[in-house]
Amino acid sequence: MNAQSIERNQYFSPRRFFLLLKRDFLTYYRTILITAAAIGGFVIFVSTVSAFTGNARNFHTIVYFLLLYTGGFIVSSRAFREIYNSQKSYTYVALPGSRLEKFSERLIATSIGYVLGTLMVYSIVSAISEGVNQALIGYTHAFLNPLSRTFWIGAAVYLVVEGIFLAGSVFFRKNSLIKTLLMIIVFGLALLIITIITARLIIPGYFEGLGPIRQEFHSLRELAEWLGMTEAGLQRTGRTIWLIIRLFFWAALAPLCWTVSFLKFRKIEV
Amino acid sequence: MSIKNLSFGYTRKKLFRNLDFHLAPGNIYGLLGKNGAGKTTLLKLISGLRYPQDGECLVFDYVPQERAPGLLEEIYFIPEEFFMPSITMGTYEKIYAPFYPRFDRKALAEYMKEFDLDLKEKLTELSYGQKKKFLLAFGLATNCRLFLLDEPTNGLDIPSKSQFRKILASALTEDRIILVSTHQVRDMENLIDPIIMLDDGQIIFNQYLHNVSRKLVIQIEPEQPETVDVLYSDKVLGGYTVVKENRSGEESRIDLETLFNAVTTNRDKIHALFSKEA
Repeated sequence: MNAQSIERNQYFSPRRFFLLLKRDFLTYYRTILITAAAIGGFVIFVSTVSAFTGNARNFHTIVYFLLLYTGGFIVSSRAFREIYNSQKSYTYVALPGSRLEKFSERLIATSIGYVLGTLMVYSIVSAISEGVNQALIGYTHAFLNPLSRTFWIGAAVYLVVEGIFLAGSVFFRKNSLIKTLLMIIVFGLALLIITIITARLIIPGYFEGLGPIRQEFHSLRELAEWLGMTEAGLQRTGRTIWLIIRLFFWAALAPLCWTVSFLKFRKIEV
Repeated sequence: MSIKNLSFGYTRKKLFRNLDFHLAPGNIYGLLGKNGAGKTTLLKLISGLRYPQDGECLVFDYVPQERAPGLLEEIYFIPEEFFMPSITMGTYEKIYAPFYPRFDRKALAEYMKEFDLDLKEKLTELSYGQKKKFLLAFGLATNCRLFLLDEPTNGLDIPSKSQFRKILASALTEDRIILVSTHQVRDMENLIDPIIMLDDGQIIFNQYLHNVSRKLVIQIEPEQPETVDVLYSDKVLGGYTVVKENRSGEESRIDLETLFNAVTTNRDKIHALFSKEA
């Protein structure tokens, strides 16, 4: 009976998932509070300085996303640092929780958890800073609007790109942030080289001569004719390529990063 | 808990080759071996922190490398070196105790009292020995069935070593296995039984002490013995410690350090002696 009840919970138990969240929060809440206070102070100071110029109405949207992206990527790239620390790893790995619970807990904490956490803290900080600005300068910035399209798109982009940094924290034992950034640059360069080589193979005539652009096109129709396509065909091809890129970014990139990270995570030995 | 044909190595050279052994509940096993013999690695393999490259390891019908919560709830591993977060022992209990379904808060309070520890104290402000005592108290309070200790007496003062032995002996139950890896054999005397010795990637010795004292006799002799039945001898103050086959049938006290030296230096003869009985 006992063995059966245990067996049912071997892969995912919400109770253990929340215990893991509670563990992280109670262990790191002091660090979180100190970091939030330091950043909050910095934001209030910069907001007051910015209010003097009086020309940055969307100040809070810019600063919030700056903090969301930079802070979030740093936090994500350190999410699984514990498993590569010889003195800390055994506590985490031997803790009664499945690998899926441990992985999803860190994933939720660094993605949705981080967005909501920073939003909450930033709302408080921006309210204080604008109170200060109103009292001292008589000028206020527009508040960050979490219901705006800008916010939702910005947060969604973070949730996708964050997956890459989370993968970096699982794959790289040390300096995971720098190594992840380097990996993105190398991957980008490789993609660029592959694209150029492919283009040269498909349309070699385009690259003839000394410069990369042999001829200027004044309309899409001219380019389509030169490529031996119709204008509608070229537009359709362009739309298809763009759709594939968008689909890959919005639907595949994050799940791909999470999957490879989880597969690596479950094999890590300490 | 059983290990069959297990092989493992950090490099191409195997640390363990076709390792075979079985641990039964109700015992405090002493795992002895030279530096680098693989004692810590073996504990890691049993607890699922490391994965075997070949063979099988089964703990309470679970495969440790799957790290199933049902098994992790039954294992408590105290490594030689560990990190403690900057929280009080009370907070530690609040965070970690709910992970263990049979955690006994009352037992923890009793062990804490025995070790003279206070839940309000911060873990980072404790000495290494105090931290170790806290982990020991917490681990025993989890009521897990497999308790793995790596060099548990390192860093403990003399009274703490006695407390440790007393508490560990009292914590042994019929369904619990305690495996203690150590090279501080003197600290473990009158506690560990059976004795497992690890050398060259193999279990070279796995015997209960009563069996050892039936087969071997360890005594001090004034002169260096030259008889053929001497399995091991070593010069000590006032003579020679000699390990011989016990032909009289009279059981004597077994000094673990001497036994270890005898087994590692004369492995084949001792193996033959114990195999004869089997």
